[in-house]
Amino acid sequence: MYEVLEPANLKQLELLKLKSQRRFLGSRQGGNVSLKRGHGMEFADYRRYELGDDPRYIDWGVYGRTERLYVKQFQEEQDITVFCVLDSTASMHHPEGDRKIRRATEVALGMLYVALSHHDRVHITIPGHTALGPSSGAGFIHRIAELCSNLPMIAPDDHKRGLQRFLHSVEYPGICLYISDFFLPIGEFQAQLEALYTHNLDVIAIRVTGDHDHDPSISGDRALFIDSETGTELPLQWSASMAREYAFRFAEHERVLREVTAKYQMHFFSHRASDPLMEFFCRKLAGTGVLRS
Amino acid sequence: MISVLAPWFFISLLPAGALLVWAYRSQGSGKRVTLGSLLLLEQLQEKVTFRQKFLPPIRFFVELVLFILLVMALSGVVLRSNTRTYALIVDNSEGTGHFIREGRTILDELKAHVPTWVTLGIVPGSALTTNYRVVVTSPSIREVTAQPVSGGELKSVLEEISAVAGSDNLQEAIQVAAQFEGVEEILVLSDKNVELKEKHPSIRFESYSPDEREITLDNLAIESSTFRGVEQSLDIALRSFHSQHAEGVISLYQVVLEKSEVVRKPLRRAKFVLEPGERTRVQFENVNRNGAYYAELTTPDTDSLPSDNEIWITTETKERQVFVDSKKPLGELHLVSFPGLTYEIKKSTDTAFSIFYKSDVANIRAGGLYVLPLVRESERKALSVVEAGELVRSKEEHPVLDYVDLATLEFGEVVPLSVPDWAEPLIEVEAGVIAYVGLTSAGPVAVFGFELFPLDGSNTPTQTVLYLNAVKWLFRQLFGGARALIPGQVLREESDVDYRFVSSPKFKAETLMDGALPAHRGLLFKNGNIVEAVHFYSADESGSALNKKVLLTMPFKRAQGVHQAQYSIHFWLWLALLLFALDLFFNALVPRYAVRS
Repeated sequence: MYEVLEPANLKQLELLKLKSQRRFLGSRQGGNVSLKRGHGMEFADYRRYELGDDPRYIDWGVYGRTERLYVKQFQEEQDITVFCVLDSTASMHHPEGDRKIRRATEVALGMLYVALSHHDRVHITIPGHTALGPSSGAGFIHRIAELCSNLPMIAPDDHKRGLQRFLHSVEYPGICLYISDFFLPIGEFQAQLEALYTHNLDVIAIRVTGDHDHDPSISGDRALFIDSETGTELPLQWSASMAREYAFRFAEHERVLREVTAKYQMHFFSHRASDPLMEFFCRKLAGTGVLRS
Repeated sequence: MISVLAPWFFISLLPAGALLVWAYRSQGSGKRVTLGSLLLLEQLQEKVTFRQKFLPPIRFFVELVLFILLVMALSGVVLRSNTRTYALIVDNSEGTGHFIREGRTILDELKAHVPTWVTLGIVPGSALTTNYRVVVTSPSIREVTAQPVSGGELKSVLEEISAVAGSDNLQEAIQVAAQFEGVEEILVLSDKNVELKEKHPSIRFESYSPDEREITLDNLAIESSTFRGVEQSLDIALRSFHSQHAEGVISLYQVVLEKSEVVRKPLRRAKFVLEPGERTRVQFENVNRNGAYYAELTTPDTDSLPSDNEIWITTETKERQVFVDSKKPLGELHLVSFPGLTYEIKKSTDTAFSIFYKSDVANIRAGGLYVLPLVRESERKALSVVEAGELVRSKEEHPVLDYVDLATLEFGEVVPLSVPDWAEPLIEVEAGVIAYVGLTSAGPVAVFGFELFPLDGSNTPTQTVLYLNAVKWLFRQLFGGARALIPGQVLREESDVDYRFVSSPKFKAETLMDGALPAHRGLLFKNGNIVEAVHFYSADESGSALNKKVLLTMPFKRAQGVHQAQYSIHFWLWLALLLFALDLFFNALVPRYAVRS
């Protein structure tokens, strides 16, 4: 049972709404302001009355001032497709004590539940493994949870190929949640963002890290560090100065990730797996406007 | 100054240090830690590799220092001051007094090699100075240098040392020398081979192994004397330690006191001839029982040890003690230590004087207070108990009469006393002298010819004062008087003494009477008008020198010694232990980086 799916947490999430930075054409009536002008709640513009226009939309106040007929135009509210790309490479599974993959899954479930609760369609992809959706309805969240309950470790190459397949499959633009630890070279990260951007996706990158990602210090002086994805072994004489150096590089890496996402006008969030989950939704994401109540 | 006793241990430092580095480099990569990604760590590794390929942890340095300390401990690194101290033990027992060549004794020959030692002990170009502390074995084991002396001063110190009767216990002397503060080396001068029984880890014992040359010491000795009371004859046993036929004369003297001086009056002489190793007895007839004698052996041949050519003889049969009074404590007296003779401190409580009530004053056995003494039958007529009569004279200035008002004293019946020549009359009444004091060889004596302890109490105050004065004076004489006994000299009465020691020789009158009175060093002292003798015998000095391997030349050749410095080893080991604890501390007690799980 995921923490995020507890009834109390779901109630909190239902109060939130996923807000896209951009407007997309939807496929059906929904709760998001679409690019399409038509019937809606949000005023968009005036235009000259043309024959056939619904006289209910004539702004008689304007006519009184200008003696010309203008009709009000509204942004149509349509549904939106929320894509979720959940990284399940080995780095998300190690070290096991950090529980990064579980927390990443919970973040995904929370965000998708917010979308589902507002009648948006959601689609989840675990690159290299499987995909589910698009579908809507709050009950869909349980299928997603079931899918994520036992995620395998995906090889990095499979992940890349899976990501490519996902991009090819995108038919509609929408919001794309990309959840990963983003331990990859900056160039590669940038290329992935570029691809998502070109597919007209409003990307929200959420970085989930574990405690050991922040501080891999060990007891004792020496250790053989092993890369969970490549199996690369790295013997190191650990020291306090090295720990300081690592902390600096970790912060620097995250700063560059944030800069790259900002360049594409995307959101970037970092979440530590040991931090409270609901605080992440209700304060961090809600505070920056990604989620609105 | 730092000295290294076993420097070759340092050679092990290089391979061991390399071993330590190798161990650290090859001990494996330590704990296996699987991380999500090594992306950032790999960047870090590049930087470390660039900076320093082998970056040992602090623990490595701790262990390296630990190892260095252990090597230092093993190699015996010692810190020494610029001054080193050697102890020089000089065996000056009588055996070293044998003349061996051209009028030089064994001791002279031994001492002649000391300058060579001193020279060899100087390290050229070194600021190290060597001081010496000298210990002699005879008459008792003691240090003759009040403070460490330099090599130059050592010569004059050695010149003062001569062979005397006494101990030759070199092992004990080594023990004494080993206790000296800061002594690093013990050198021994002896006519005997020395082996160190007990090792002193902190002191190097240098055993010089000189060339040995067998020396035959041509010596004639008086071995013992036996007084035969029944026959009134005196046998003197002689022995030849000569390598060849030897002859000599034994002369007997009677020892008498003339004006407190010992005078030897020739009595008889006897010639003798001895083959090598032969023993003989010379008998002198008609020797009186009560007397002191002196026998002397002379020979025209070579005699390497003159001191065993004489013997003091007494035919007294009393058991006796020897008193030695001194201002110095017993330990500082360096009294002659002979077999069978022990010294014990006699405290005032041990030697409290006795009160002889109605005792025979003509036979004073010990110092003390004699009250109403008995008199001998021959004196009884003149010294019977009579009425005192009036006071005639008194010696008021005498301490015994301090604060005593004799006018208030009613003497009643008294025993007039015959005052000996050693005594001093104190109170004289019409009946005669009724109190006198004096010093005897048996101790101070105060004699009162009247009742000092009246039962009626009428004269108690005055008599009590008189009694206390007497006690006080007796004590002062007992413990404030002085007699110093010097071998070969008559006991003299002196003053100003703080300590009193009593020796009780085992050889008592009985053994003197029928057994052999051993030669040769002795002590004469006066007991009343009699000269008494006590002999202290050091057995093997005369004869054991026969075919003794005398050490004459002493090339500087070090024997196996204990090349260790206990203090230093302990110091380094403790330091190493401390670092070992620090090592554990680094390793276990304070993990700097804990794995979070």
